[in-house]
Amino acid sequence: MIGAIFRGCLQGNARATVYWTLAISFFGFYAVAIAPDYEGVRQYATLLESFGPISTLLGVSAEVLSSSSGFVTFIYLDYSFLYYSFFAVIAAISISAGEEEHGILDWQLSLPVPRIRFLWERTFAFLVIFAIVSFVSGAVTWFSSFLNANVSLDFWTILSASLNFLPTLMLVFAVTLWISVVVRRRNAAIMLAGFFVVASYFLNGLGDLVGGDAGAFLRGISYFHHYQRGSVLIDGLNPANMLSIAAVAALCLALASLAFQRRDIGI
Amino acid sequence: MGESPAIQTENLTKIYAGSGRLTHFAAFRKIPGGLIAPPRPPVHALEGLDLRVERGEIFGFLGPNGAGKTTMIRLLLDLIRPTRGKAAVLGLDAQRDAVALHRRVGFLPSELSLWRNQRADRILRYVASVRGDVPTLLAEANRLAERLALDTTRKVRTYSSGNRRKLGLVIAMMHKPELLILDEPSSGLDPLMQQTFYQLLREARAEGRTVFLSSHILSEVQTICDRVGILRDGILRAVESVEALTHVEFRRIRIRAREEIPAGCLENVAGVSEVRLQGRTAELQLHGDFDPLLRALSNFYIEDVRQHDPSLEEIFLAYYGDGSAVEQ
Repeated sequence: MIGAIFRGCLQGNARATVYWTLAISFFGFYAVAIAPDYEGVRQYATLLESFGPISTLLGVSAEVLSSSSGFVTFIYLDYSFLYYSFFAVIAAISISAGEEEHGILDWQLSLPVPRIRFLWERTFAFLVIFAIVSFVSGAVTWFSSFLNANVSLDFWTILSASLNFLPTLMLVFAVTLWISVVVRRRNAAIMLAGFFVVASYFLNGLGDLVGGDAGAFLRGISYFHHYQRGSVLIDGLNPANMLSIAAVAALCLALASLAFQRRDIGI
Repeated sequence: MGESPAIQTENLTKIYAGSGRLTHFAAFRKIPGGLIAPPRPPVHALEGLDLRVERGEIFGFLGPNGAGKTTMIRLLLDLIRPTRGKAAVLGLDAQRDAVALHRRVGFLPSELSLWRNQRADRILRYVASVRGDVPTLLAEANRLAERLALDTTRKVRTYSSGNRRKLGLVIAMMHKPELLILDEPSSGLDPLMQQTFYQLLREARAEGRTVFLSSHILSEVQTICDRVGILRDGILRAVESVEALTHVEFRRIRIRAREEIPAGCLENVAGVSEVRLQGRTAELQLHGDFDPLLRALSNFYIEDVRQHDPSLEEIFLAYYGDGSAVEQ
């Protein structure tokens, strides 16, 4: 029955969804709670700028750090996205290499479901889970802003930022899925996907640091650059960019599906 | 034209690639004192298997661990792809028509793993919703669970291995499949539950359904199977009815004479092998007719001759010992 695997995946991951929502919401709340007044932010920006290249490597932008709200959004969007990336890695590995290594995939694939549908229904389920975690955490962060007089968050900016998470998260998810389908072993897949996330994070900062064509190239191969958290705060959503990332995610998903369809299971 | 067989394979071969390809990440193995293990040669798990299982029979697939039983089952279910040859199940191509086939087949893997934190009834509901007709399937699942004395309201992690096995049986049988493929089905079941399980299989056969089970428990195969295939090193050595297999090949004979039977007097007798002499008693294995043996003993006063048909275990050992039974 179409949708059964989708629903099963949502139900099976209900607890994980709650935990991740709580964790990232708490992080949003924390970012609001520690936000200093305007003078504090200015001092913070000055301090970071004094670090020179390190501030660039960490992706700190004076443009973003121009207010307490910018400070919160910067802290929240930057670090929570890193957490989300690891969530996407864990989720993608659980549906292929993880279940395969535990032997759960054997009997599931003996059910009357094409392998590709099995993979896609679970992918859509995780897209919904990511959306739930992202929107609820964003809403909690926005509500928290009422507790700190220094912070005034724009609801639509937070909502746009939450929406902006999704294509890039799906890219991380799809790349990890592809890796886990190809390498088969859970630990190897975690290692490679974790490397992909961490390397992307630092390549983006390194690109800013290096500058010029080389910097542009380094930024270009990092998904953190394409995530464009800074421009979402300033210019709002960039649908063309989001669609491009979603298209690359779909391509990786197609490659993962093809590999999954063709290979032996559970050997 | 008659009904297609439940299972038919032609030259079915599966060779697992060795681990020499460095591009394949799974090739990396931990070894003491090094990162990369030396390349493993390809494994011929199944070689040119031709098998036909008729509908409505209980077919036992017998062999020790590593003989290729599970590989065969995984090929039938399209979990793995053959290197050569093809398999048809219920008249459908195992690879091309896998989804249609899975609707009509129930499968119990040898080592069933389930989501440990899920309740059994939720897993059953999930399986029912994937298969389609949820109320009917759940009703049948509950009926089976009751017969197997399985409490489905508990989480899987609280189950013993026997209870997990029962849950696996319920999952495999809840849609009343035309073909049941069971890999080592009764391991972990207590004797009482084994009897219930055998009864379920007999009922399935009575309804015209087919059971294909792999086992290394000889008594189990002898108890419930109509025919048995013996697999050794990936090669199908024999396919026989259980009855024929236990009667045709050889017999165990015990002879007691009035005087001592001299050593060597039975050694060159046609059909006689594995002679053990102990004073006035001789124990031996006899292939074929009795006549050469009776003629060899004609000079002795024979007090007693006892024959017993070999158990499946003895036949099995003969197949797996030096292969002499196979040669003959």
